[in-house]
Amino acid sequence: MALHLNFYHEIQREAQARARDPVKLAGLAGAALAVLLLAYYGYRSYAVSRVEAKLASVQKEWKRLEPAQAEAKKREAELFVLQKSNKALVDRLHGRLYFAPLLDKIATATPPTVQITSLAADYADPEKPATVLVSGIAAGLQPRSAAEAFRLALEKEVSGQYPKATASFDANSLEEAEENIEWSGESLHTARFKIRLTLEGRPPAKEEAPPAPKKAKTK
Amino acid sequence: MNLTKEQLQKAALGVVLVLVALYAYFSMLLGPLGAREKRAQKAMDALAPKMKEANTQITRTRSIEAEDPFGAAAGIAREAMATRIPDGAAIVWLPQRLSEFFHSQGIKKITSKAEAEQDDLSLPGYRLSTWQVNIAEVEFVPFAAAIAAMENQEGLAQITSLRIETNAANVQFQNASLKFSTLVKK
Repeated sequence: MALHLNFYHEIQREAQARARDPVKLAGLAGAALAVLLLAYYGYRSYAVSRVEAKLASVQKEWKRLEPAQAEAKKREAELFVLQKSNKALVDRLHGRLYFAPLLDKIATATPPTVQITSLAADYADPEKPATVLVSGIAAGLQPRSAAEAFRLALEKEVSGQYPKATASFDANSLEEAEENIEWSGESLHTARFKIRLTLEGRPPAKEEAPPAPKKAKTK
Repeated sequence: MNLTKEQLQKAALGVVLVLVALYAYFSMLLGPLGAREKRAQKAMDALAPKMKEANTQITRTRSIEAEDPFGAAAGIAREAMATRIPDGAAIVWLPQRLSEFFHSQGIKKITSKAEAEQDDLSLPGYRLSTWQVNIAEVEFVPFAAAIAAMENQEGLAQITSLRIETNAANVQFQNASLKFSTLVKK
């Protein structure tokens, strides 16, 4: 076996000792740790700046929304008032009671043997039914029956427009009169009457009133 | 491993420096960063419900604005009111308008007077004015035609009372009177 002599062993040991220097190793580890910590700080910085950028955009949006919300709130209150006002106006326009078609119905229902001497219609409160007091003279062989026939005709005619309309004689208002009249060569007895028409419920809303009566029945 | 005294001193100094650096890192760099993030997140969390409420409010207002069932009809009516109702007191212009209207219907003997005027709370800017019109010696048909024309032309007028009486002196004619209410500007 050949003998191998290493004359550099001392030099090599010193080199190894330098390489394993704990101070140097600690310095390297410290540097690595510092790089890692700086990298983490960079990452966190980026994440936080993104959150702050998002906040800035949210705040910008809120800056736009806040006055818009206040405006919308104010506008909402105005709209409620306006809508109430619109409804009142439209109710007033479309919920009117038209007297011309009512006069037309009364004229249509009045036969030649009935004379209306006065008519008084009232519609002061839209929440209450309208009333029409028709006073007149009915002529016939049986004048009370003639007046009753007129009452029924009136109720029927008006019911076409006002489904809940009622026509009734005022208390003690139907009484025979002393005077007679001549009609078609016949002498007819007369009776005075007062018929009260009550118009409950409104007819369907119309934009315009129908045309006025075409022929006269009251004189 | 045997460390020399000098190496031990260096190691101790190194440990102290690392600890100081770590403290500075966490308290001066990461700490404020975390606090900033927390603040920003808290501010966003606080704004989120407010923004939701604001968006709801704006949407609700828009839908109310778009869904007024009476808006169109009332808009037309308001335009007509703005042009047809003159400014100034009704007592100045309404009798003349009534007189012209009934004259155009062939009815001459007409007098009119104001009965009352009151605020209409549902229609800001307008008042409800009540008038009485007396017509002497009028035939039924022209009178009824005038009523029909009035109800067609004066959409804001509501007749509240109507009287027709036989004229004893001349049975061909009646005496008539009517009360109506209409809107006038304040």
